[in-house]
Amino acid sequence: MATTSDLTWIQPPSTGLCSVLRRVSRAPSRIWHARDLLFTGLARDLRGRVAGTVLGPLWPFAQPAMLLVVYGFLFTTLLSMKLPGASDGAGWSAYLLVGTLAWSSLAECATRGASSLLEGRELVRKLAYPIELLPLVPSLSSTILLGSGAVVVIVLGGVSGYLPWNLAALALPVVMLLHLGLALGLAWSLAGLNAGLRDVGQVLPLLLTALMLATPVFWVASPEVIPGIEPWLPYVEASPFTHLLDAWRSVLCAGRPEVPCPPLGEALASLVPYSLGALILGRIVLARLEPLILDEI
Amino acid sequence: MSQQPVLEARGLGKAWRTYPSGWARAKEVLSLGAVQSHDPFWALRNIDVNLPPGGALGVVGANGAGKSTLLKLFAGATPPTEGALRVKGRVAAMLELGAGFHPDLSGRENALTTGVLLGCTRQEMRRKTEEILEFAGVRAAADTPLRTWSSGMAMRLGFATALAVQPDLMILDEVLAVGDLDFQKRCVDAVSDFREGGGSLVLVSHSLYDVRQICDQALWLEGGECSGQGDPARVTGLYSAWYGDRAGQGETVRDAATNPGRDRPRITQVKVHGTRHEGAMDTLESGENLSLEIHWENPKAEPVQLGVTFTRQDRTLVAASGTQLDGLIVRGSRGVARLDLPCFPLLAGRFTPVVHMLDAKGIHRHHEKPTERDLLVTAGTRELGLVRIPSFWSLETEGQGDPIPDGVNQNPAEAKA
Repeated sequence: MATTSDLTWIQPPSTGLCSVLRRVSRAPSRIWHARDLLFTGLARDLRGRVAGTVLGPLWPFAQPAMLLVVYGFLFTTLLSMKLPGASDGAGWSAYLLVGTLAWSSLAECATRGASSLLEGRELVRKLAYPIELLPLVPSLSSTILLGSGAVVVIVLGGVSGYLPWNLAALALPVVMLLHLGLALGLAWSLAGLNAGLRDVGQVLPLLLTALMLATPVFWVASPEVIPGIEPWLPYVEASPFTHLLDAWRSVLCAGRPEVPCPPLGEALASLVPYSLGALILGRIVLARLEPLILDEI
Repeated sequence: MSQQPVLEARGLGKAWRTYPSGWARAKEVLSLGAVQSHDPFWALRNIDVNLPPGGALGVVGANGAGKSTLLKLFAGATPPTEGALRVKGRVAAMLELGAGFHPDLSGRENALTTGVLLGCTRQEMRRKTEEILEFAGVRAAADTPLRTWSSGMAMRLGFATALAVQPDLMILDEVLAVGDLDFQKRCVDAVSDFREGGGSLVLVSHSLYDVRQICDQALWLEGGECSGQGDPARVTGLYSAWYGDRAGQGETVRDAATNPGRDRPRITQVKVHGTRHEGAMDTLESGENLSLEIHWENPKAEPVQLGVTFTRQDRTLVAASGTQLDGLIVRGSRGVARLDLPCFPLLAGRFTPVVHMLDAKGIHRHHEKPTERDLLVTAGTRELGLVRIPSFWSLETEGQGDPIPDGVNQNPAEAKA
């Protein structure tokens, strides 16, 4: 007796609200069913990053370690820039280090996510690869690498006394999950838009640079540091990226009280709606564009 | 067992999108499809398919007829624009061999990854990897990155991987002609084994021979519509005739079979007896006795079949004869076969006799060798057509007509006498 559970008629896709929402709500179960595919893609992506290098799997750990050494040296020895209320440059360099790590991972998710459908078009065209997995793979691998980088920062920072150990570091998995949500939502939307309209990929680098400068990666959103910033603060506060960096700094820089960031619980809680919202929005964009993408790709 | 079809399509149609301008595209994408500003381009319409379990469908048609679009729909790579289809069980689509391979990963890793892409679990694939590498004959290079491989090796790995997935339905797009002859033979064998094991198949091939031998139903697409469907011999015949009319040539002979390697079964010499050598041709009077002496070698002594076909100049296949039809299997490492054709029935015309050496199942062609010269058949009679059919007339007449004068309006067959 044949099972009939997988026997459904494949019909022309509908982009009506109900069918889009149904597809969005099914996303978690679809991803779960495709987990083997996902792990395989993830393993391939991670292996592909270091393929042909001598250090191989050590690179994801070596890179943040090197960044930590460079930042530490630059800001404690060469440049005498200090955060308000700090006696040396260590806090400032930690602020920058964590901001840079988190932002570059997010930017990577956006960039690689945007091109993921076009790069993986052979998989979609020839092997009917589920399109929502293509942006998920680089987002996931980038978040994992960011997490391993954070572990390096925690360990080396604690050992050297550059970033004293603090229990807040235990919230690393939570902030990684929220980071993944925001990054994946961004990657899903950009992947869909860019697969339909290549111009999106052309604007993206510019957009990301502008966003990076407008987000407190290299500056502190406080009138003490930047006089005259008050009128802009509500906008900075509303940006999901500000909340993302706040959350990372709350987790990693808690050992240095001079680093300006909200308390851990508040930082994580305020990121949750942004992260969830981005995920749902991204999946809706991709679901709406899916019929077009499958015809065009 | 349920006889529910493995693949069923009703009124299937696919329109690709074309945009009158870049702005029209931008409007449609940025509005997330709320504004539909594309023009449909119909690649396929009104296709009905019903493939029972274990069945094999061959799809033929000229380039751009919609074959690839149809396979993409079957594979689930793109949704239909109208109609509906359903597929039962695991599908392995090989729309292109080696699709999804990563050049920096090793052959072993690529086999595993691709197997998972085709629907296996990682555990299943780990078990099967050795078998795949063995079948593809790439075990020695298994752990080197794929970019150092030859394209043939990569394609062999692709084929071996898809076979190992053991799908319920396998979709092959023109992939039986990859690799060297030895591998082609193994592919064809593997596909027959797959079918004997109850697997279903959809095959696109330009080799009508493969479609006739492997499939039990055929679909001829022309301009996105069905031009013929049903029995493979009938449909490929229709297609061949249509194509021959259009392009001035019939089905093309695969080049590989004209020049096998030294270790492969092959025909070394063909001698023609009973003819007169005139100019560039062997001539023969229709109705005389003809015989061919075929010298062959088969180093590995695998069982083979021999066959002879007579093709007219316009590449119409006129007649054929094979050892299998006489219930004979050719064995041994070398030998001479003699084919006698008493009272040769072909009428006037120029024919090319071709000797074929095939595998025991008559699917894979090891070697095809035409005789040195074409055969020119002359007929002293006024008989019309290609062949003399054995025939006998008998008349029953009523009434008394005028006696017919001698030499006028006589039966053409008697004119010679």
